Amino acid sequence: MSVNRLTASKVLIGVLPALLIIAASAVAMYKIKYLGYNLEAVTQSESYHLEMVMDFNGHSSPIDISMALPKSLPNQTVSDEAFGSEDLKFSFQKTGLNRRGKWGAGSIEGKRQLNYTATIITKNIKYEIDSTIMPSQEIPNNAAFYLLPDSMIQSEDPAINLLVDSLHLSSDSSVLYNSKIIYEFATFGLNYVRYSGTIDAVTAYHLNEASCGGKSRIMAALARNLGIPARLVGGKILSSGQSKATHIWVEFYVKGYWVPFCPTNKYFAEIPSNYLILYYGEVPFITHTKDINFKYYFNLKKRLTSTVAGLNKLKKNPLDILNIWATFKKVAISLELLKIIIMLPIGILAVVFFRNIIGLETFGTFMPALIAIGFRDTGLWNGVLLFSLIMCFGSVVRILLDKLHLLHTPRLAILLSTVVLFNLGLTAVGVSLGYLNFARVALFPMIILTLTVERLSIITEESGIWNALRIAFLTMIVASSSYAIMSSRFLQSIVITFPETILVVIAIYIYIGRYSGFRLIEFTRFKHLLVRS
Amino acid sequence: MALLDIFKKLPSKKGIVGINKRNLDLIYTHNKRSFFPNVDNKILCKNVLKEHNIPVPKTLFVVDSPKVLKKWNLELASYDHFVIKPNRGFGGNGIKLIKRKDDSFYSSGEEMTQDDINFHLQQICNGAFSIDNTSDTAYFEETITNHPELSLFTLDGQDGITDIRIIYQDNIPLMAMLRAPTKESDGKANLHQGGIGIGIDLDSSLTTNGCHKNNFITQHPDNKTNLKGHEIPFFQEMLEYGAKISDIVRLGYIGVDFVCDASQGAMVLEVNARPGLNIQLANQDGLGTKIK
Repeated sequence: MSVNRLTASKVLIGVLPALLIIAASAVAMYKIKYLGYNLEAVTQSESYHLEMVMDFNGHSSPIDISMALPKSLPNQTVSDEAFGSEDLKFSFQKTGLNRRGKWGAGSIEGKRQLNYTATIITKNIKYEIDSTIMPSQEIPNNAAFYLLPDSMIQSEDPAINLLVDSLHLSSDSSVLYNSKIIYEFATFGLNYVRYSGTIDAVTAYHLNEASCGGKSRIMAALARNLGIPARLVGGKILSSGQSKATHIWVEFYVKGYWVPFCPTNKYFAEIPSNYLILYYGEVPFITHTKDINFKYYFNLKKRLTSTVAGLNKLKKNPLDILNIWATFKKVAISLELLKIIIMLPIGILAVVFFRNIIGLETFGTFMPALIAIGFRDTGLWNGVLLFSLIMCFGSVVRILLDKLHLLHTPRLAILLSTVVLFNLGLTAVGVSLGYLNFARVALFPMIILTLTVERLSIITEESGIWNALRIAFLTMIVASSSYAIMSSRFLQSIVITFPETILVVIAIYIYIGRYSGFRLIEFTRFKHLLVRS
Repeated sequence: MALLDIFKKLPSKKGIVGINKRNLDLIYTHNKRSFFPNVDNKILCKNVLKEHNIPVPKTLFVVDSPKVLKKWNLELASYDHFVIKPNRGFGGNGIKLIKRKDDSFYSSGEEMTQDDINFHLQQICNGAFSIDNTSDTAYFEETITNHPELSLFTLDGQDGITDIRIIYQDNIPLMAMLRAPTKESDGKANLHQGGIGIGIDLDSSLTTNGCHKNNFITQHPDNKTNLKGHEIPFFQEMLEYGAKISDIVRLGYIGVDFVCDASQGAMVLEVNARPGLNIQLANQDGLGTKIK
């Protein structure tokens, strides 16, 4: 009787994972074949949260600040723009191709902070220049303006004429040929030097060195000299973190297209996916009233968003309910939160693997996965650093509390309260130093931290500080692995598009759940027994 | 997957049981969750065993409410030695051996005031040492005096007691070991705290080999006594008592901890529903060969 039941449950356990995997594949296949799902449709593209922060101190005087604002172009989309203006008046200003934001007030006394935020999605575009196009191509009026010499791009200066000759450039050669020579000269012929000021084309030629602006201007001067319209582009190289620097590159007009070249970072007829265009031409990125102790910086955060095209395609889907994305949007649950929820079953793969197959000891069973969720806001390295800081602080508090001889629960409550205060303190320090990722420590799961401190202290008491540190270290390893899984963009795309992946993970858990073999560390624990006999 | 197969086949060929196998094939299949409290609640377990005429150390006083907390000193006035234990503790945590000398109390050589003891009792009641961190009961128990034949495994002048663990599957003893404290384990016989384990041959009642941490040993690390060939007093009684316990507590796979008191002989100290696997190292043999 009991034998029958045992074999029956064994059969069920053998079949169940297979059934789950078949079911998951069937649903996924159906979605791909009949509903038009594909990974590309919902694969998330990188986006940046751009923040521009401006600080100044007014002295009861009029204030006038103007900044170039990015706009949507073939290589970039700008959305969710927002402006912080305190008691200043904000307005848009359109000048030619450029768009600027203007903050102004009649009289301002004291410190103010202004900001501009937007979501930026950029993409890489490569251009092919037809080798039959000659500089004598037809040039429309709006491009002809970019043939004229100016004070920074002195395209008719004798020095530029001389350079054209010595490089064997000629308006009888193709645009492609001339562009290549010009690009190679600016990229490799001129030394790169980082200048803080602005250098014009002729000065750059005489110095034989230039920064991004000088290299771009000398390219523009040579092109204009040959009759190819050329204009400067000012922009920002996107990368996470805080920075002040802007970048300059150049565009040539080629038969209806403005083709980008960056001699500084070596892009020929290509705009890379991390370039954001802010303005065209010889205009300042930012202007402001003098003597107001004006400071500014960019703060960029990388994010993931689904591509608009992909989403629109799935919206037409008759089986909308299968599309978690749309479903969650209806109840205003953010994609970020959805990601945490949906990645958790996959993230704990690390926990299960390290516990049942490797045999690592950690604080609490699922504690590492919960700690990993905390890392999501701070990033891995900041997260590990902050976590260790909090553990040290908490342990000191715990030792002091021990001397007071308090009851268990109130003592834990005090520990929790001090951990909260410490985190808020870290956040305040982070904000004032400008380390915003650091500041997001306030989002760490406090109760988890408190219980971890408690476990750490108890283990220290029972089996010594080294054992406690060892377990803390192993907890970090499992938490980091869990974080790596949960923050993998590839896995996120798969799971968000095909939530049935979770059934496959359940099948894996059933398999591991019936695994009666050694945990890896048991090979050392029982090494003498294994060698014997 | 193929690697996991090796992880499975190699130990099973050698008959060694790992934690996964213990949980899956021994604990989950033999021990019903609902009967765990029968052994996790130690006061209750002792009472039930006593009813079945299995000797257990006497419970001297139970602290189950704040009202009675401070009465222990009065109740234990006639005892110079006693042990404080959490009712639902695990792994030896929260256990304190207390000695009275001229109206002062000592534990592990350190003086403890009455307030210190009160605080420790409060800690236990608040669940600081209980298996699931929920509130608990503390109790006082009589101390055991090691049977003279077992005292050769303990150090002179050190508190600490040796105990004998026998593992049963469906009333049949599988393996036995003696656990002795060392300097390192601070008087505690728990193996993970540095105590030593010494295998016992079930047929002859004689000690065999030993282990310290994960290593095989032949001598006690502190007093260099040879571990092999010592007869365990009252071992047959222990085997008999143990064989009845599975049916009493309704758990099929158990580890029973015995002590051997100088005057009272074999007694059951506690019953464990999740016995550890170090007994294999102490016996230098795998449990797998013994399991039915």
